Amino acid sequence: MRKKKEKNIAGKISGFLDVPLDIVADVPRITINDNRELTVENYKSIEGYEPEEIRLRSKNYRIIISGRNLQIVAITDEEILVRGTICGVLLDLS
Amino acid sequence: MFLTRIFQYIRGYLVITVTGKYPERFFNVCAGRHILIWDLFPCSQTVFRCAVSNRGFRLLPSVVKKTGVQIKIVKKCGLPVVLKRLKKRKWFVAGLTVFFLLLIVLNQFIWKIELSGCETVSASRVQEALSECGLKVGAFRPFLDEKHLQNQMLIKIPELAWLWADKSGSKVTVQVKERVLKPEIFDKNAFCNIEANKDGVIDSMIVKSGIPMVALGDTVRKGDMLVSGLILSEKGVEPRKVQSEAEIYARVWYEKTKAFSLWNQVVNETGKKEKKYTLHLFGWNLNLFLHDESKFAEYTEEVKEHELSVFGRYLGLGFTNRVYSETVTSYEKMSEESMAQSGALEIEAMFDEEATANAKKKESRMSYTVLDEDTIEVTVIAEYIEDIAKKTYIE
Repeated sequence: MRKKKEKNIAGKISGFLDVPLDIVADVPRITINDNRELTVENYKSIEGYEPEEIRLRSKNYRIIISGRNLQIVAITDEEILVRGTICGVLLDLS
Repeated sequence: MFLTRIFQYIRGYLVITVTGKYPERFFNVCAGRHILIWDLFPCSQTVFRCAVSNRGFRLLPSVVKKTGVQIKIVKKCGLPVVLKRLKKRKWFVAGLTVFFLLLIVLNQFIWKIELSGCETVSASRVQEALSECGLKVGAFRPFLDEKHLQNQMLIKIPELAWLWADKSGSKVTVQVKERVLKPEIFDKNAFCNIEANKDGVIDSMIVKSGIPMVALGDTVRKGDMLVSGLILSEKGVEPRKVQSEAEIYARVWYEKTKAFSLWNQVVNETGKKEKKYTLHLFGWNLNLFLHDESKFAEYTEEVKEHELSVFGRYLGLGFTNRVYSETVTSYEKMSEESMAQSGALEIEAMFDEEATANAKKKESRMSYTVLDEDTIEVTVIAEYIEDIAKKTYIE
C-alpha cells in the first residue's frame, strides 16, 4: 500500500515537472535498438541467464527478455547491455 | 563501448570461465562491487564464460568465496600480454624498429613526381626545369620550398602562367597552367585595309570605318580588298588614311573528296590475359618479368598503378600492374550507303577544323562513287557563313 502511494507521488511529480520518471523514481528504463540490442537501466540483479532467455529483477517486477543467442555484452551495477536476436520483452508483475 | 574496449585492451584483460550452481549470483555480486565484466555468455547451465579486467580479477577471490563458484583463466589478452611476448623475441622487435625507422627516414625523400597540365610546353622541359630548381627524385623533402620553386619555375619557363607543387608523403604532384597567348592587338594609330582571307560570296557587311570596295552578292577571292583605309577626296584635298574596321560575312564553300575502304576493322578480345608487375621501391623500378614484350601478337594494354600510402601520404612503395588482353582483328564489309555516311561525317569534321571558330554551317551535300567492289569515293560540299575580314597594314 505504502509502495503504491510512493509510486503515485513520484508519478505525479514527474508529470507536473515534465521530468522523466526514471530520474524521479527508481524505476527501470528499457531501451531497444531494433531487435538486436537492449539496454536495461536501474535493474537490481540477474535471476537467470540462458541463450534463449534472460530474467532480470527490478524494484517492482521481473523483466524477461526472450530471443536467440542472447549475450550480455556489458554489466555494471546500474546497467546491463544485451545483444542478440530479441523476440520479446515481458514484464512479470507477479 | 568501442572506446572502452580499446582502453581495456591497453590495460589488459582475462577471459575466464565461472562454474557453479548459481553463477548468476556471482555476476550480481561483481556488479555490486563495481567489477567490470563483459562478453558474458553461458557455455552450459552451470558454466559461464566472460571477460574481466586485470584489476577486477584481483578483487575476485572474495566474490568467489562468497558465491561458492570456481573460476578458471582461459586466456590472457591485451597489450601487456603482447609486450610480454615481444620481450622474448628481441630480434623481431629490433627488426621491426629498424624497418619503421628506415621507413620514416626514406619517407623524408621525394620518390615520385607527378606532372599534369602540360599542353604546348613539353613535359620533359618542365621536368628538366624542376630538377634544376631542386625538385628531383631523391631530393630531401623538408628542404623543398614550394613558393620558391613556384617563383623559380615561372621565371624559367615564361609560357607557364601558374604552377602548384603539392607534397603528400614521398610524392610531389606538380600541376601547371599554361599562359594563354595574348591576341594580336592592332596598333591604334596604324592604318589598314581589310582583305578577304578566303574565297566566297559576300553575304552581309558591317563597315564601321573605311570605304567598302565590294557589295552584297559579290564574289571575292582570297587577298581581294574588301574595305579600303585610304579615303580619297574629290575636292583636291590630300587623301586621308584610316584604320578600317568591319565585319564581313561571306558564304564560303569547302569541298573535299576522299576514298574509303568498305571493309571495317573490328577488334575483339579473345579472353586470354597476361599480367606483368613492376615494383617501385623508393625511386627504383624492379621488373618482375623477363621479357618486356607481351607474348600476344595483337593486344590491348591496361596499366594500373597501386601506391602504398598511409593517411593519404605516399610511402615511396608501390607496384604497377600491366594487363595485356589478346585481341583478334577481323574485317566486316559495310554497305556503301553506311560507309558513305560515316565518311561524310569524317570529312565534315575536317571542315569544322578548317573553318573559323565562329563560322556557321548552312548546308552540306554528300555524294559518292563506287571505285571498285571494296572502295568508294566520298565527296562532300559544305557551305559555311563566316567572317572573312583580315586587316593588312597600308605601307
